[in-house]
Amino acid sequence: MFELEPGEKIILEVRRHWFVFTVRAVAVLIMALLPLLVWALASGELRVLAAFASVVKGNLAAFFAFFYILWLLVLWVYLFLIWTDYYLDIWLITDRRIVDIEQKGMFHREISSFRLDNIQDITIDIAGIIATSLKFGNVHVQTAGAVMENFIIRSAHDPERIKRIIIDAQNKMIERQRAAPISGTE
Amino acid sequence: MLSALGPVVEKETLWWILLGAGVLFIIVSLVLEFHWLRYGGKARRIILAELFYFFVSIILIGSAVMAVEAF
Repeated sequence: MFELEPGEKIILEVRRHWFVFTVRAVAVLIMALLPLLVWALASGELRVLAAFASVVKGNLAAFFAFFYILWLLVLWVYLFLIWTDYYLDIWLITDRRIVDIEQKGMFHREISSFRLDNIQDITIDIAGIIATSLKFGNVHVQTAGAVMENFIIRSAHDPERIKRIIIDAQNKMIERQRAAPISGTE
Repeated sequence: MLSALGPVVEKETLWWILLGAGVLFIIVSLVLEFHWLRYGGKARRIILAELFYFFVSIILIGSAVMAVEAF
């Protein structure tokens, strides 16, 4: 986990909207139900059952149940892998900077931070019926520096509120810098 | 007939498959647990997710064992 600077405070934690994870969870649910559909279609085919019965030395129903349960176990683990990836992607807005923590796969974690006083421009975009109804979208933050950088807070809930919070935090930081003694301490 | 293509599936085969699946499950669960502890800390949501994950996993593995026993 990354560390805060001395005196630094977290104002807001932002994660992707729950809808993003839900879409993937529904896909996993469909994959879980698929074997049942195949079973419903194939169980009437006596030739298929007869073919399995010739290689399976035991209860055929238990045989299929065993593999279906293993399939569910695989999907269950996969569901939590995608949930962990979703949950560990986070943007932290502090009173000094924005920290972008991105979990890119299980063994790759990227942490970037951008100082508030380097922010040049903030744009939000909410695209589509679902995003508009559920009020989530992207926040594009343009920063200044030796090289102009853009970073994006993706699929966040209420991006307008996030924009307001960032601008407010930036203004307060600039005020603190102006009020700081000439010796340069903040 | 499929039996001409390969070995016949017996109970012992299913136990070996279950063992292999169990080993893989343990490895992946350790990876998940590592991430939850390291990056999730003691967050309530992480603890609840852990409990839910292991509870359902135990049920699934128990059901798989019962299916093999019934084979």
